[in-house]
Amino acid sequence: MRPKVTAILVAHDGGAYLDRTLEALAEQTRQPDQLVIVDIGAKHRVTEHPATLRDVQHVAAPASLSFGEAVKAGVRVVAPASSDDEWLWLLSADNAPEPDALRALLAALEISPSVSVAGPKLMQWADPDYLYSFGDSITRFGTAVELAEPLLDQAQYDKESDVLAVAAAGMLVRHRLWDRLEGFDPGLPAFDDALDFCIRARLAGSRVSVVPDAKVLSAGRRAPGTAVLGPRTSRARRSYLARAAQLHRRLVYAPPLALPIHWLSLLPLAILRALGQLLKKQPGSVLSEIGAALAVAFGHARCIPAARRRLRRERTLGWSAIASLRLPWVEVRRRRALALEDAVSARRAGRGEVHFFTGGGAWTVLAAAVVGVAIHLPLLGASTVAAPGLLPLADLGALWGEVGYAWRSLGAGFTGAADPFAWVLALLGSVTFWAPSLSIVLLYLGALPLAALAAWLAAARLTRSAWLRIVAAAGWTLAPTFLVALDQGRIGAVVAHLLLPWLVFALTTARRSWAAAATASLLAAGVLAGAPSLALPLLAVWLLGTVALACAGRRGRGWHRLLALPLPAAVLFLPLAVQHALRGTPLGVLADPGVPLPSSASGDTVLSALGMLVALPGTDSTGWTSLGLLEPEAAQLLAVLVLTPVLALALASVFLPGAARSGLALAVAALGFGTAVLCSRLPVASAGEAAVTPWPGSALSLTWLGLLGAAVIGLSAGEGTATRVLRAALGGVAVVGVAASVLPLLGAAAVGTGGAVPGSSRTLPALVAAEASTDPTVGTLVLDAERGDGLAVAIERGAGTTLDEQSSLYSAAPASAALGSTLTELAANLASRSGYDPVPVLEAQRIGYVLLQPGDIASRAVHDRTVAALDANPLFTHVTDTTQGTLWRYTGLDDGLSAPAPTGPGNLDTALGTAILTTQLLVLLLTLLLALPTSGLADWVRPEREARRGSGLSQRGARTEAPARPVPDTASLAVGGRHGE
Amino acid sequence: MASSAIRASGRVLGAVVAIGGAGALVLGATLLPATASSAPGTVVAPAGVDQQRVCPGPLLQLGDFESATRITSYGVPAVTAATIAGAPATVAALTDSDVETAADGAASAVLTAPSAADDSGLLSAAQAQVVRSGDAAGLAVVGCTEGTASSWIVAGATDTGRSSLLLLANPNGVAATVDLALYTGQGPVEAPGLQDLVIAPLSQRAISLAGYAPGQAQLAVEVRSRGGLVSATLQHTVVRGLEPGGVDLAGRTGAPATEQVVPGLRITTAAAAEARAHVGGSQDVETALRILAPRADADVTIGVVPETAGGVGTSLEVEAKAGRVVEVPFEGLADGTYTVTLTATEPVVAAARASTVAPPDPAQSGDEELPAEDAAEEGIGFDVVGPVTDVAVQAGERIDLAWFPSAGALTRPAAFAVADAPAPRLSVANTGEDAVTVTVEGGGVTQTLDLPARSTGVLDVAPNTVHLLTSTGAVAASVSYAGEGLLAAQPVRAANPLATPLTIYR
Repeated sequence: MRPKVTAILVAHDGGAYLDRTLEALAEQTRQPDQLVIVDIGAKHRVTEHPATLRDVQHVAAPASLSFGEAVKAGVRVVAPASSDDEWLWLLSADNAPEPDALRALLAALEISPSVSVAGPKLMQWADPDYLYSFGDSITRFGTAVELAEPLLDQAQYDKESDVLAVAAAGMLVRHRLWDRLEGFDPGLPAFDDALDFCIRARLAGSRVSVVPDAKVLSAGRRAPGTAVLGPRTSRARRSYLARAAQLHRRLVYAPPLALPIHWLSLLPLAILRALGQLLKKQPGSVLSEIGAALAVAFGHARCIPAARRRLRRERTLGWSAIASLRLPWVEVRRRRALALEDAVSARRAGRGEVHFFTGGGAWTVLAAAVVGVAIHLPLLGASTVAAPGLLPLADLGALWGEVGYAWRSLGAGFTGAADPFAWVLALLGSVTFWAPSLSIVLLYLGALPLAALAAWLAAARLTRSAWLRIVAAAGWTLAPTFLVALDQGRIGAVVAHLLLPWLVFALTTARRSWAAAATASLLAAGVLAGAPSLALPLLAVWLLGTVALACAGRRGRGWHRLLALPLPAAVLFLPLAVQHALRGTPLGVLADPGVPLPSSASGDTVLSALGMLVALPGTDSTGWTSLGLLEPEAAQLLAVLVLTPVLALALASVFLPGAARSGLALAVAALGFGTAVLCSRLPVASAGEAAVTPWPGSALSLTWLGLLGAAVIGLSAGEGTATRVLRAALGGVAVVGVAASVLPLLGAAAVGTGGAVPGSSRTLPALVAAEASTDPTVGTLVLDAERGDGLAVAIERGAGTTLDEQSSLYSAAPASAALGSTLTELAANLASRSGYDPVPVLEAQRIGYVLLQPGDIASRAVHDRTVAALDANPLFTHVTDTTQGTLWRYTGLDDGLSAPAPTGPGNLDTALGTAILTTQLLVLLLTLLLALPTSGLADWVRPEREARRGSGLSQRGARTEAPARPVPDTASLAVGGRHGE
Repeated sequence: MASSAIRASGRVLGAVVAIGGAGALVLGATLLPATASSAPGTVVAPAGVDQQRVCPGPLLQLGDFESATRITSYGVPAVTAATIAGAPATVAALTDSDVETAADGAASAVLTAPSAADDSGLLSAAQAQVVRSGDAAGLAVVGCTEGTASSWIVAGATDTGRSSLLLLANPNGVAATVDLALYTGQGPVEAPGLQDLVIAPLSQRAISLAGYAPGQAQLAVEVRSRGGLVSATLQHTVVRGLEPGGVDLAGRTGAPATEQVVPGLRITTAAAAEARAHVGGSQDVETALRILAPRADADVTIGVVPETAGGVGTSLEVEAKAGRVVEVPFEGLADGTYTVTLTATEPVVAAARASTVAPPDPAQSGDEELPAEDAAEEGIGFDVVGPVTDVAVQAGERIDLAWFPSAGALTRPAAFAVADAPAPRLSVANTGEDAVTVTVEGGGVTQTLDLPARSTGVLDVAPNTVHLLTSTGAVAASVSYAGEGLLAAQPVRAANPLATPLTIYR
């Protein structure tokens, strides 16, 4: 009896694919007896078909149907099967069969009657000589795997016939079996539908087989597919659908007793796998993992029991019947090893060697280390560094306690978000966890070599010349703004300067790799934490760069990896920015972290503006003045003159080849300059009576980066001998100029007369420190006389305030808000002859000492008045005069202070604090996971290669570029074949 | 060809853009407006407390024919004390713990008035006393001041015939502990008993400096107190042989600073005083400026400017060694009122001294002109020093000395009392670079002075009145008094200097 074949063609906006497929059907040497075209197209309906086709029926179905549902809709219009020899041939719009396909399928079925499901050999649409799919299987854990590699078809798989499953495309299935098994599982709308159907067919006692002689095309990912899965489906959505399908099958196949365990493990496993996806640098799949787990756990509540019932009803064999058809572990491991080998060699091919050791990098860093230790010789053996902008660090617990939203005992005390720099300090302090302040000393000793290392590597991205890399590293290490930041203890600016070259380094590859993008985002967060004022130029660079790349088409590929660059920084800064805005000091978020320090950089005269153009942060930046050798203006003029070669080289680079790149570098320099000028005019905080702007020096680091970059690019041009000699000479002149400009700073630091000197762990007189050792909350009212009738007031607790305690919320707030009326009144009255009773405030604020810092000529009026008032106050006894100032002791301290010091919640004590800390920690950790260099690991855990899924119409020809791998004849289908050795 | 031309012009264009851009950046930076460089502070006025002024009380005499250390008081000073609005002060006598007998029951006193809500509530007080008896003669005027923690007094001498009594008054309810630092022409004095002097509550002590630094012609004292603010005054009495040579009460002078101003140095008998200064034992009649650089050697530039246009001033440069009191004589100054300004490289304290020499009182003795040689032969003790050959000195000349302490800058309205003494004259020195207008209200009249930069003006004011001095800029002022054989001065001090509002910064 002649078998009856009904072809079910599911068309979803098939277009050219569908036309080709209909033609191919018409050309079949064994025509199907009936053709049902199930039209689930959303845009236009199919009405035409080649006239040679017999018995064609058009079924219009809703566009939202999945493939399985569409097939069911088509089967409903076909007469019910009256014998076992009636077949359904499932086709999709892109499954154009070769003329012999149906004949070959039927011929195979004729000789093996026990086969109820037969699948053709699926070939790639773009290049029909290449395999697309030839049978599916699962591992022992149920993961779906393809049996055949997407290689040139050399009949290497043709010996095999029995497989666990075949693809839905081109599947020929016995009509009765289809009806019995109720078709594809509605819980599997896109992936694994055919796999699941074939497994159920196998368990129902049927055989599933592949027919090598029947060839059907498939457009793979570009196939029109269905509304559920089509060419426009995003990678994340695909990954969600695939994972949901696997989880669905797991719950359907599980024995009843294991079901609750599987169900409970869904979410924990999803979180673990999400972390794994980060390590695999596939951040897009993170949400898919969790979404799939949630969807299966809660959304499939109805279809899983139905599917389990179906499976139980029709199953005649045990699971052991199909055990031999699963892909064995040996084969899984072998495939992984092959994939790893491929990935490693691909990575090696794409990586340029930097020759760090042979190209002079190591020597540069070593030289910088020697200079660094030499100029900071006085710091060797010190427990901490004292500088205008530096304070000791608290112990490790307190250091981490400052991170997040917590109580800060500054002034009258308040609960507020930490400066993001608290994270940097906490990390830094954890390096020397036994004495966190020591880490500052180490940072000072290591600052120069670290800068040299970073700059050398960043320069390696710009030039191949070893000498120019050394020039760049020396220029960056000896940058005036960097050495001034070290001298004045502006540790945030130091950190920013150290991280900027790394940021450049990471940004150059951020478009190509998730790891580099994540690294760049972490580095940007670090840079901004150290110098929040750089937010303006960095945001501008990010915005312009991303938009430009997004508009640049193919040349801007990978721009989506740049989208989330500001995320870690934003999460760190958001609570602080919101609180600043609520307190009416929105610009305060730009204030430098740590001790507020006024700066001398103004840029309001031509000379100082020229100074800023060559990255000199102010008149105090040359060191000549502090040595007493030159007047500030003369010193600045000298420094500008010796730095002119760098500026000249940078500007000259636009004449030379590579002008586009050096133009970009110069634009960065200009952006830095503009930011520096803006910063110098933008008071955001205060220190005593002085308004404090963000330090322009940090922005000038950016200027310096641009200038050095442009100079290096300019000097890299040309390969001739004369050019090279000239380049060496010019670069040398520039470096000598830079060195000359900072010589006095280096000298002052080396002989111990610089701003940064060995410090002690307390900032208050020893007497207070001794008291603090028994009562760490005892407060000291610190007064500092200012010019005119001004008096600066602070409260320090214990042995003195620490660097980690500082907050821009406090330094940006006006005095009345920061101190509160009680403290301003207390201070003003203690410095006066008055009828005020200070005892209640002293007791409530737990103030035991008053320290008046040494005055100078300008401030002596208020200084002497305060001394007079306190000396005459019988509540205070004059204790000592030290270099830190004059100390008075509150007589009430003898009886002990009754009230506890004002205190508030720690960073985990409030819901808001916990939420802020958790969010920040989560974002930082996830970014870190993504940033970790785990490409090797990623290759290990990725069993299938990306290259598999073939290409569609528009990709014709692309396939031929791929190297064809010679395939030995001994390949066996059951184990997926062996490819290569 | 065409492409290379395009490339070349592109590079030139790039260079123009780069260099022009750099120039534009620099220009833009200089044009961007600067913002305020100072932070806002909170002005806090200290809580109100009663205003206190301490008057040192009657003049004292050290030693009588029974005991060389017995201190007695004589006479009663005339005290002028009131608020600007005219409210009288509450007077409470202090215990003069070192005075054994007090004439007429007079004593040092603390004057109090309620906290000044505005300028009209400011309390000011001064005392004046004229003596013409026994060893002392002359006019002593001193402003009654509030206590301070640190006072510098540049006055006094302990050489033959000179006595210096340091009066330390503690107007508070708790004891004050005082440390004294004594400086002489030879340097600081190391003597026991200068530290930890306890001044009992509501009392005044009188300490003879001769016990610590005997035989010194040039003295300066620093008084530091702890536990309470004290008011320090120095009584400087001169007796030449048997002839009274003047008496004065010198209040504190300005704290160490690199700029000092002594306004109202009043010279009334220049010729007679100069003549007398050449007589042995009378060198201290000469007009002089006493300077002390307490901590470090200082180069001091002194300017003496007359207050009347066309007058002749002088200018000097001296070096003050650290810790050594130095006296600079002013020679050749004609009668008039002068402003002395000091500019030093290191902080200094200073005060000027002048004397008036009047002929003997015709009511007591007839004209008797003696050549100095004759006087020496008579053993009274006039020695002529110096190259002067023709000196005529009358015995019984009435000489009075006066100390002119430096006056601090007045930046807010200041109240001052004019003592009940002859011919009070207010001198106001504008020390700034801008012209100021000074308004002086008191005694029922309002007077104004327009002072150009770096100039001094004088006003005659009524005795025994209180005045309010208001100025549009910083000025220094003092009131001087002069009569026949009488000379005194008192600086105008800022009112309640420890109770002015402060600007609190964070």
